[in-house]
Amino acid sequence: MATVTNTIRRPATAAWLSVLAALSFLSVALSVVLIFLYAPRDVAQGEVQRLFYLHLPTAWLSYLSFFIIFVSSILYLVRRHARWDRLARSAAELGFIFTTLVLLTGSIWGRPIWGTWWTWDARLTTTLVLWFIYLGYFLLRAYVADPERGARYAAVLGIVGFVDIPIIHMSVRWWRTLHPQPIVVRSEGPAMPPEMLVTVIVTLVAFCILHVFLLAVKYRIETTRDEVIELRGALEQHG
Amino acid sequence: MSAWSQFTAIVKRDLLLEWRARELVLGMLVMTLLTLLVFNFAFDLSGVQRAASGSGALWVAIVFATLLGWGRAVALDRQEGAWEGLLLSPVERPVIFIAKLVSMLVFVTIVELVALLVLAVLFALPVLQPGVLAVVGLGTLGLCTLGTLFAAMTANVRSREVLLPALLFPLAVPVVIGAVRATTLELNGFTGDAAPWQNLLGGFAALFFALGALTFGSVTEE
Amino acid sequence: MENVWYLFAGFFLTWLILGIYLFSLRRQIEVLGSELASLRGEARTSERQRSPESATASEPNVS
Repeated sequence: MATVTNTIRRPATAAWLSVLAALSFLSVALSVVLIFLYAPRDVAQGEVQRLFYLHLPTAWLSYLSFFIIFVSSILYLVRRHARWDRLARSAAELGFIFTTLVLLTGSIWGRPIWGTWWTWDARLTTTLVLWFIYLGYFLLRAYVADPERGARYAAVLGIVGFVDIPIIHMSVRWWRTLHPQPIVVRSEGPAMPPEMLVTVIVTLVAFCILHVFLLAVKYRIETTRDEVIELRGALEQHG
Repeated sequence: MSAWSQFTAIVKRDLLLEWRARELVLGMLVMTLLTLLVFNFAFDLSGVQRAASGSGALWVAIVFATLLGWGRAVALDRQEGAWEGLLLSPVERPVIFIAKLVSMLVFVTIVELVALLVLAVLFALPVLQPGVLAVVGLGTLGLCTLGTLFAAMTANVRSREVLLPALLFPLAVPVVIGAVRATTLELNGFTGDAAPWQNLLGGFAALFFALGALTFGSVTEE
Repeated sequence: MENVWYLFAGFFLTWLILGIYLFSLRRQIEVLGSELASLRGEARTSERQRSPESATASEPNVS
């Protein structure tokens, strides 16, 4: 009885995953050391500028996650294999967390620098809209009763959403720049000293490894969840 | 039946049903007029800044009316299994998509014309000029292409009234920004400055028209 | 130098959120793992009940 349809491909073995976990931990630890001990103090903004090292990678990863959703969505609609939907679901959860982090770090960084918790500058605004698109993605999956339909609908949203993001970004940027700005924000200086650049790159790489690790773990969880659902369904059928 | 005659058949049916019942357009119309009224109290649409507030009020009204319209249209369609019947018929999905889009455009356009008249008469805004009408047309097209796709998606979902706006609002941000900006500029006479926004709206409508037609099949696989 | 509070708040919140997420992932693994195990046990017993002569114990793919 037990062969589950859509053969659930067994992903990474536990050993591989542990290596990834260790690697994530080490690289993140290294980046923290660099952030606080190696990167120089910013002349204009002071110590607070170090939040930038968290802000940039989380921003990259929130967009990267949506790109993963985009690709998996297309593959799911074309191939209809469960693994692509699982990947999309996993990337969505991760992406939502990273997007929340971007908004939080941006806001906390902005408060001492701009004097306000929020500003409708182009990047923050686009990230906020992205956050809402992620939210819509989860609401859609939550409210659609049939999982297969939910997967299909979510895939369409993933594709439409991703295509829309550059347009949203462009329109928000025009919205801000074709009108005079009350505050001019310069998040980075004219040129980044090499120590800063190194720190940024190391932190970015560390977060990418962390992202891959979390994605792999989440994907395994979703695989198990699908197996549970299949087994439960089969048991109910055969009694 | 050719695709064209299928298309016209669907559109004619929608228009005929609406002509008999008239609840869709009337509902949208009431919503639009009330929104404009409330906005007038909230933002003083007859003051000095009325081009900007008027344009904002107009587009908020259009967005809410469109959402309401989609909710009602989708519910009406599913009465007596008309929608399921349509899906079972041999009509190509993109044809259904375009037909539904056009039907909705007709209804929304009627409502918008009344709204524009109200803005022109009651708030003395020069809305009845080609520039403004072009922006309204392009913006509406963009909203409705997204609306057709996601209304079909959320048709059988519980809490559709919450889910459809939750999906549509973030995705329609470029349309809202572009349409409000362009309308304000046109109302103030800066037609040249409005051009990039009009291009954005046009591109948006074209892009999501294509994407919507392509993915509509995946959404309506019942 | 008061801005340092913001710096620490930002870092603290980030790691807190990531930590909570990791913790929730662990919980998901535990819950799903035990559910899967119990379901598999049920499956085996129900299969044995249905075909007691069948020698093949068709185990689903095990990691």
